Amino acid sequence: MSSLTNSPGTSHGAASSARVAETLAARPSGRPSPTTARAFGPLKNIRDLRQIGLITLYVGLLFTMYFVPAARTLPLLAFACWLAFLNSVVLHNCLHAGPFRSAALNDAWRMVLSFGALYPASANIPSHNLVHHHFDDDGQEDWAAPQHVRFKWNLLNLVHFPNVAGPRTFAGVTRWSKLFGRGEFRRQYLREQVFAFGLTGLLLAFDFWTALFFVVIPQLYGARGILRINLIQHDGCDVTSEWNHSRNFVGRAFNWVMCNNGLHTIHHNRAGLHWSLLWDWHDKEAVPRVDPSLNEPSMVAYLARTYLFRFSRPEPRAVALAEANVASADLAARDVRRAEVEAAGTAV
Amino acid sequence: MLGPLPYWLLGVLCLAIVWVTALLCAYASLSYASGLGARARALGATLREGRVVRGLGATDGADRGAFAAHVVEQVGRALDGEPPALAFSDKAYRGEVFGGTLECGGATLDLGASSAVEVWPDAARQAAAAGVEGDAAFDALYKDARGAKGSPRLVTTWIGEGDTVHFATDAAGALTFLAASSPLAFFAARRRAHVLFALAELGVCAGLTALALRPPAFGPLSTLGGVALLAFFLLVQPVGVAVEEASREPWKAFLRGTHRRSAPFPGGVVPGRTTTQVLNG
Repeated sequence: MSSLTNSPGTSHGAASSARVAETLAARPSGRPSPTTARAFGPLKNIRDLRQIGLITLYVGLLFTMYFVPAARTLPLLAFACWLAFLNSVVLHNCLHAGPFRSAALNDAWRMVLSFGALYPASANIPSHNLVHHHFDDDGQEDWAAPQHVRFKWNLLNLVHFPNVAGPRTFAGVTRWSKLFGRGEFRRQYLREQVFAFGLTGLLLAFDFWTALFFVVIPQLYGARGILRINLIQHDGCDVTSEWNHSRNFVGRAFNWVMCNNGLHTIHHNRAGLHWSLLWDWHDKEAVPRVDPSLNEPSMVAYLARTYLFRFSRPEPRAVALAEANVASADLAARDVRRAEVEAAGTAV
Repeated sequence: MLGPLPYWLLGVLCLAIVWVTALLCAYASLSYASGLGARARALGATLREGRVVRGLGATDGADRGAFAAHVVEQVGRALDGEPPALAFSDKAYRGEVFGGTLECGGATLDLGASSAVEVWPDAARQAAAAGVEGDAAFDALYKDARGAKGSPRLVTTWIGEGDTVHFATDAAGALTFLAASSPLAFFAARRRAHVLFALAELGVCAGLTALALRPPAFGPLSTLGGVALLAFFLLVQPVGVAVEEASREPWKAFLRGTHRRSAPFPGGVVPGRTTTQVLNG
């Protein structure tokens, strides 16, 4: 059985070992150490054990709360919600590059992740890898573009964003999935739906309120959280620019837990890089070209400053000027990168 | 705090989540309606109704001079299944005024060409223009429709001699807005839809909340209310987005569309594929 994970094309995934080594020489001290991918059992990269561990903990916690009344406590529910968000982060990583060498294992893994997020993981292929990474749906705006929310009170934009980005995303995925040659995608998508909704439905049928409170709430928290991240990482940025389209959160502890998903600029531009390599490439390519205001030390501080301690939405700034005087990187054009991802995603 | 959470507290939390969502969807819809109202007022102050008496553009397809056109750039892509079908997505929208003469209140206005005018097409005429006439036209589009880049096409909707138009001009007399149907009626209908949606979804949410709160708490009726509120929470969001997308002004309204061939390709030979490609599947 083949499976689709939309692994990178050559131009944005070609992290040659020589260039990485060159990068490491310039790596600031104290950064997470590097980059050599070492396989481990069925895993392509031993660092993915962190992702496997997070998801095992999360799913284990959901079932523990469901079956063990003494575990239905506030701290564990809050912890489950936090892990649910990390489930969506891991789902995102795994839909760029499946962690297992076996296609069947990747298939099964996506089903587990789909249950954790209560949406089929493969939706990320069209919605994230194709449309969001290039901020474009055939000339129309990204399904998760910050402009979909327009309240004057900025906090409402943050709260409401999943309500408008989610439906646009799934409508877009449905349109995309019907196209010629997407049969394997549709079957993969259906398997994930059956598993995620079927298992959740069974839990709801067996004990509705317990499943709602201790399974569905964390699932929806994670799914809506990852949608919200689109607003947090792009609102006020210049998505037409090559390097200043995203906001990075560069805290070290934050990125350890988030599997480096705070480093969003370099992830967008070199989507094929394994998450464990992102620090090096961020330092090498993003830092010289990104307006310093887009490198936020703390997400909590940014959220408080942007959504709690001010009423209105911040005006966009001319952040793209930061990249104007820096030599261009060896990066394929956006439409070329999109075409490569499109080709990979339809290679059934 | 470290002991098991009481279910009534979690029920209140869930109700709060559903109500915040319902209120935000309603507020977004009412804000959108308010925006449409402001736009209608701004446009209505300068809007006039007239008739095209002369169009300086080439023929509009009905052997009349074209005064203006609305163009949708689309990309057609093949769908799976038989008979073969094409799905179109919209890439861009633009208006073009070729210039000509309008009659308005017994006077005539000579207007120049411009590509900076917002042009609203007639919906029925646009739907007709978007059709794929016959299998030959379908096959010509299908040729490139299986590739990632798809098969581009333009859907052009004309405004020509004899057509009634609604238009606005700036202080210098240059055309700034041109519509083939009443924009004020459009704004009024869409505002009604938004207000209706907001009231209806809040009403449904209130009714289901009452059901979920029927004693005994977490009993059969209360559980039925909980199930219905979960379904409501999941459905109110796409319905809200659908109402908003249906309110896109006609110059940028989604055209999209799907067209199916009358029958499978003769002999199974797909247009644009070589014999070798056909033999290799």
